[in-house]
Amino acid sequence: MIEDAARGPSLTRSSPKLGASWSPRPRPGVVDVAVAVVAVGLGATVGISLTAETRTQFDGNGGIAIFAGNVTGLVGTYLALVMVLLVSRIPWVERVLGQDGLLRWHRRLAAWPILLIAAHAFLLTIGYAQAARSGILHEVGTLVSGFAYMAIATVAFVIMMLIGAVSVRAVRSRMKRESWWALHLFMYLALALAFAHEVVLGPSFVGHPLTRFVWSVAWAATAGVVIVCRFGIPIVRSVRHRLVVAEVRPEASGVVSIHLKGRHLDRLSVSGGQFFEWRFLRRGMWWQAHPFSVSATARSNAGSLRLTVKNVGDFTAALAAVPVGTRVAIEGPYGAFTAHAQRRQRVLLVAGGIGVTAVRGVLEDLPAGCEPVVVLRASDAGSLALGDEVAALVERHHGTVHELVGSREAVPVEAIGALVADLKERDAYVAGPEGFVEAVVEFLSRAGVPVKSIHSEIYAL
Amino acid sequence: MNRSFLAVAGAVGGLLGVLGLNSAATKNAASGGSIAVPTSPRPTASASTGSPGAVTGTSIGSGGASSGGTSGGGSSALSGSAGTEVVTGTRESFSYGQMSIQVTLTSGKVTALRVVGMTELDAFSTQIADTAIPTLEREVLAAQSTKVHGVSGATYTTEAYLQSVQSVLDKTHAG
Repeated sequence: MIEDAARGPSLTRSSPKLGASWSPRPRPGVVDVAVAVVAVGLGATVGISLTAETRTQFDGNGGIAIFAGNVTGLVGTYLALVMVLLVSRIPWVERVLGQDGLLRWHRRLAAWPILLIAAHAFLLTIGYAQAARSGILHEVGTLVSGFAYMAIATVAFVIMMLIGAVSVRAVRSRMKRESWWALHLFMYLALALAFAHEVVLGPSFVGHPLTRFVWSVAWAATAGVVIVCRFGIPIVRSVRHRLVVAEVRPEASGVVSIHLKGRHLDRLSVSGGQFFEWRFLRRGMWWQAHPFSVSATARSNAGSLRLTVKNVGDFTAALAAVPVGTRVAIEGPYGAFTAHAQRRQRVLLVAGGIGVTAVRGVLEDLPAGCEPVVVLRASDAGSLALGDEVAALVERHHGTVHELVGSREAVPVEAIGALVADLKERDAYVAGPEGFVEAVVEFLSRAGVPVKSIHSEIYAL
Repeated sequence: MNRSFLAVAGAVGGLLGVLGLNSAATKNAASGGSIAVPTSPRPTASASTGSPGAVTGTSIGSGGASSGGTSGGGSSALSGSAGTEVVTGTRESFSYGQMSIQVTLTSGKVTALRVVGMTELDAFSTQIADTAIPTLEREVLAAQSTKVHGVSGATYTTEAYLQSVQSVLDKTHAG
C-alpha cells in the first residue's frame, strides 16, 4: 500500500557521511507505529459509536436512523482528523512517505469523511423527524435551533458540503488550482466549528467523561501538530536562515536558477532531491508558496541554496524577474526522493523536463559505486537544463548520460529499455511531470524492476 | 502489505477493545455497581404513543398513570388547605422521549417540581434537562400556573413539561 522511501537493510556506503546538513535518515518504523495508532483509533471510534446507545433506544421510532446517523458522524469526523494529520507535514512521517505519498493518501481518503458526514446529517434529520413524528423540513428547524452548538455545526456542515461539491473532479478542473486550494482550507474552520456539537450532544460522549476527554485531547493534539509543523517549524527556519535572493540566472529556454544566500545554511538539513515550498516576500507574491526542488544544496553551490524553475505560468514568469535582495520564507525540506531511498547499489535516474532538478540533487548525494545511468528527457534540445552539471556528476561516478530529445511519439518511454542493459538490477529514480512519471514507472515495473526499488517525484504544473 | 495488515489488525483490536471494556462495564453495573441513573423507572421509548406535538395531554397508557407509592398516598391524605402533597403528573411524550413531572404542593401552592421517569431516545434529552427544564421550573414556580413563556427552541419539551404539570393542577385545584 504505502510506498516506502527506505526499508530493509540499509546499504553500506562510504559516502556521503550523513552529517548535520543532510536530511535525517527516514525511519519506516515511525510510519508503522503511526498506521497502527490511527487504525486502533478508528476501531475504537467505531466501537464507542456502536455502544453509545441502548437496545431500547434502538427500538424506538427513528432509532435505527439515529443510530446510523451517530455512527456515520463519528467515523466520518475521525477520518477527517486523519485527513488533517496526513497533510500536517509531521517530519518523521513525511521523511518516509514523502509529501506526494501523503497527499496521495489524503486524496484517496477525501471522499469518505464528506460522504459519511453528509449521511450523518441526513440520517439524523430523518431519524428525529420519525421520533417526533414531524416533517423533515420542520425537523431541520428544530435540530438547528433547538440544541446547543447546532447552529455553528450547521454552518460547518454547509462549508464541508460546499468544499465537497467544488472538489468533484468536473467542478475542480474548471477552477484555478490556487483558488480551489485556498477554498479547501476552510475545512479547518468547519472542523473547529463542528467540534462543540460532537462532545456536547454526541451520545458517545454525553455521560462518558473518559471518551469525551480522549476525543478532545486527540483533536487538541492534532491542532497542535498542525500549528507546530505547518507554522512553527517553517517560521523558525525562515527566521533563522534568513534567505535572500542573491542571483537569478537563465539556464535554458524558459528555465531560470535562483541562488539564495542565508545564515547558518550548513545547519539547514536538506538532501539532494528534496524540495521546499518557497514564499517570495514581495508584493503580489508573498501570499503563495510554491514547491520547487533544490537543484543544488549549499554543500555544492558555494554556500548558497539554488532552485531551478521552469516558466509554466504567471507565477514562474514573475520569478524570472524577482529582484536580488528579495527575502524568501521556506517550508520544508520535504520529499523522500533522496539518496536515502536507495536499496540497491546501482541506479538509473530518469528526468522528464524540469524533473532534472531533483535528479541532479540525488546524483550529488549518491554514494560511490552507484554507476548511474541518467536519462534526460526533453521535447526540444533548447529546454534541456543543467545538462553540463549532470554530465560532470555522472563522470565523477563513472556513469553514463543519455539525452532523449523529441516528441513523445518519436521517443517513447520504452526507449529507456534499450539504454540500460541491467535495468532489473538497478534502483530507479524517476522525476518529471505526472504523465511522464506514470508512464516510466509503469514501463519499469513491466520490465521487472521491483516496486520498492522505483522512487518517483511528480512535478505538478 | 505489511502496513495493510497493521492497519486491519489495529482497527479490529481497537474495536474489540472498546466492545470488551463496554461489556465489562455493563456487567459491573448489572452486578450491583450503582451507576448514577438519574431517573426511576425507565419504560421503553417504544411505548410512546402520543403525538409529541399534541397539547391535548392524553395521559399515556397505563404506565404513565402509575406514579408510584410516593405520590399516591400523599395526594389523597393531604388535599386540604394546609400541608404538603406530592403529586405526579401524567407521562407526556415529547420529540425525543417521555417524561412526567412530580409537583409538590404546600398549602395549595406549587413549591417544588421534579422530573421523574424521563426516558430519552438519546443524549439530546440530557441536553434538554440541563438547559430547558430549570428554566421551566423557575417559570412555573413564579407564575404558579402553566401560563408561562416557556423555552423557545425547546418547544416539545416545554409542551410536555407544562402538560404534565397542568394535569396535577387540574387534579388538585379544580378537581
